[in-house]
Amino acid sequence: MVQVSTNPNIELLTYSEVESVEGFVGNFKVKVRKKQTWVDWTKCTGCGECMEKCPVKVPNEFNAGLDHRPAIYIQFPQAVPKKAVIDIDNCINCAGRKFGTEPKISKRTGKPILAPCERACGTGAVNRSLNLDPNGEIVELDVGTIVVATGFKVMEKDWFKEYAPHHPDVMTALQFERLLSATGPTGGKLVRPSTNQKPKVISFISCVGSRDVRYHSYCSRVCCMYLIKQAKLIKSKYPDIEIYMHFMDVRTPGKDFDEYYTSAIEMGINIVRGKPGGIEVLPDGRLRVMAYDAGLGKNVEVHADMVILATAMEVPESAKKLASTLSLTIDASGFFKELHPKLKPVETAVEGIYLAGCCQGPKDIPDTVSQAKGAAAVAAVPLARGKVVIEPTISEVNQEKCSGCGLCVAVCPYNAISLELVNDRPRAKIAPTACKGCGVCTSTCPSEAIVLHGFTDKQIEAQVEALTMPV
Amino acid sequence: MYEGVVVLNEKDRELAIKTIMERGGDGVLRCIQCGACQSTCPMAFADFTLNPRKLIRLIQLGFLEEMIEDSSTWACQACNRCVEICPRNVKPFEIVFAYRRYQAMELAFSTSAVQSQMNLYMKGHAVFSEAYKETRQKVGLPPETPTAVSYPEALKEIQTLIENSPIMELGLF
Repeated sequence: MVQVSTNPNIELLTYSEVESVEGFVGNFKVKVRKKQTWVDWTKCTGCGECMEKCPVKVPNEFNAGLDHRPAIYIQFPQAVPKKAVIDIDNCINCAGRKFGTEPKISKRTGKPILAPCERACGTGAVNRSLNLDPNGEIVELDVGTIVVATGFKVMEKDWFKEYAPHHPDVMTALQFERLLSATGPTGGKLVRPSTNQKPKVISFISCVGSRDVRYHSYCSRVCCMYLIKQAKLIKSKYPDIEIYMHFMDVRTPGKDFDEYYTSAIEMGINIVRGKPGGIEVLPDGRLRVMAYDAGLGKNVEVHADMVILATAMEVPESAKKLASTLSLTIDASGFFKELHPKLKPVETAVEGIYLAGCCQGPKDIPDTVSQAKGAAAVAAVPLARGKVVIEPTISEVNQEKCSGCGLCVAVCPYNAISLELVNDRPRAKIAPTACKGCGVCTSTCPSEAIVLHGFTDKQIEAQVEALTMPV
Repeated sequence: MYEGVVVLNEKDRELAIKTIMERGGDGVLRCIQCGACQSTCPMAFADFTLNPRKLIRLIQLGFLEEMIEDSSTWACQACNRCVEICPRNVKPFEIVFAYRRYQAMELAFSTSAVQSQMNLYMKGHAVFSEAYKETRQKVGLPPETPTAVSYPEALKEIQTLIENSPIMELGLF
C-alpha cells in the first residue's frame, strides 16, 4: 500500500465512494465523492495525539469490536495514508465546538476555548471554526477502464443462536485473528475475554454460515486453511493448550496446503469430523460444544474455554449499490458476476470493467493476487491499444424510422442508448462500444426502428422455418 | 449389521431412496453427512441406537432393511432440533418418520404399538386408562373426559380418518 501511495502514476483516493459512472470503455466519466474527513489532511501528520485526548469510546471496527476507538481516529496503525478522520456521528462536540462555530472566549484568560482534539493537534489540522461541507467533495475523473476490487465481509456471530453468540468467549475467526495480532486489543496476548486468563481448551468450528442453505450455500473456501493456521500458531507457542477442530469436511486443495493440514495433526491438533449441533454455557463459564465424530459414529463433547467460529465470507450490502451504479450483474450468491466462469473470469458484461478478488467470489490471497494481476493486465490492453474490438451482433437505430419516444433508453441494461437531436427532433442513438446485442431495445421499439444485426425478423423467421421443416 | 463386504448396487439404492422419499423423506439426497443432526439429537444423549445421520447414510447407499428391526426409531420425540440445525434442509426428522412408516408397513413395530393403535380406533385415544375416571371424580370432575370418548360422533370422525389411511392395509382392526 505504501508503494502504491508513493507511485507518481497512481492517484489514491481513500475515504471515497463512487457516486456515478457514465460512458463506455475508453471514455468513462466517474464521479467520486471524497467524504468529509473533518481533518485537514495536508496538515495531519498521523501522530495520533488527538486520539489520546478524544473522550469518546465507540467499538473499534478494525479490531472487530473487541476494543474501542475514539471519535477522532486513524483506522489502524499501518493505514495508508496515515491520517486522522472524525467520526462526526459519534463526535460529542466538546467545549460546545460544533463544526463551523467560533470558539467561546475564556473570561479568565481571554483566550479561545478549544476542543481537546484541536488543542492536541500540533499542526492545526483540526480546526473546528471551519465551515466544512458534511457531504464532502465530488471529484470527476476521466478513465479508460475500471477494476472493481471491493472485497468481502464476514458474517457476524449473532446469526448463530445455537452457538451461544452472547458469550464473549465465542468469537468469529476474524475477531480471534485480531486477538492474536501484535497490534490487536491485547497486544497479541492470548486470553479469554471473559476472564483475561489464558485458555486451556479451544474449539474451532468450520462452515458456520457457509455450505448452509439457511445462509450461504457456497463454500467460503479459505476457512479450513486459516483455522488450521490459527490452531498451529497457538499450538506451536503454547503446546499445553488442547485444540479441537470441528470440520464438516476438511478442504485443503492447492500447493502445500494439504501438507500443512497433515502437519497440524502431527502437532497434536485434534480433528473431529462432524458439525457441532450446539454450544451450552456450563455453570463454571466454560462452553460445552456438543459435537459428533463421523469416524467413531458417536456423539462427543468438548468442554472448551474458547470457541472460534469460521463465519462465512459474504458480499457487503454496499456492493449491491455499486453494482447498480456500474450496471454490473450479481449472481445468486450475491457476488459480482464474471462474463464467463472459465474463459473470461475477470471480465464483466460491461466492456471495460473488470473484477479482482473476493467481490467476484470467495478466494484466498494467492488466488486474489493472481486474479488482480490478470485484471490489471486485461484492463491495460484497451488503454495500450487505443481501440477495442466489438461484436458484430449489436443493435443499430434507423433514425428515419425512429419516433424519439425514448422507450429503448429506459430498457437498455447497459446504458448504451441516448437521445440526440437530429434536425431538432429527438432520435435514439446506440453507442456501439457499450451495446451487448441483448435485443431488448429491438423488441421494445414500437416503430421497428432498431435492428439487431444477425437477428433481424427475417433471419429469425428463416431459422424457425428451417428448424420446423419436416424431415 | 450386515456381514462381510457388501457389493453396492444401484437397484437397492433406488428402492431405498424411493421408499423413503414416497413416505415424506424428500430431503434424503440433499444430506452431506455433516453430523449436525446427530450432535443435537436427544436420543443420542439417552443412548438410543437411533442416529439420523447414519440412518440417512444407510438409505443413500441402499441398506433400507438394515435398521428395520431396530425399535429405537420409535423413540424419536419429534423435537425437530435436527430440522432446525440442518444446514442442507434435509429435515432428518421427516426421514426418521418416513422410515417408521416403512417399518409399519412391514409390520416391524412392537406389540405395544398395536395396542395403542387399537385404542386409538376404539376410544379415540392412543393411551387410555379406565383408572382416570376415579381420579377425575376425586378432584370433582365428571368421570368422562370431554374428548372423543364421550362424543360418539367425534369418535366416528376419528375412525373414518383411520379407515381412510394406509394403516388399514395392515389389518389390525
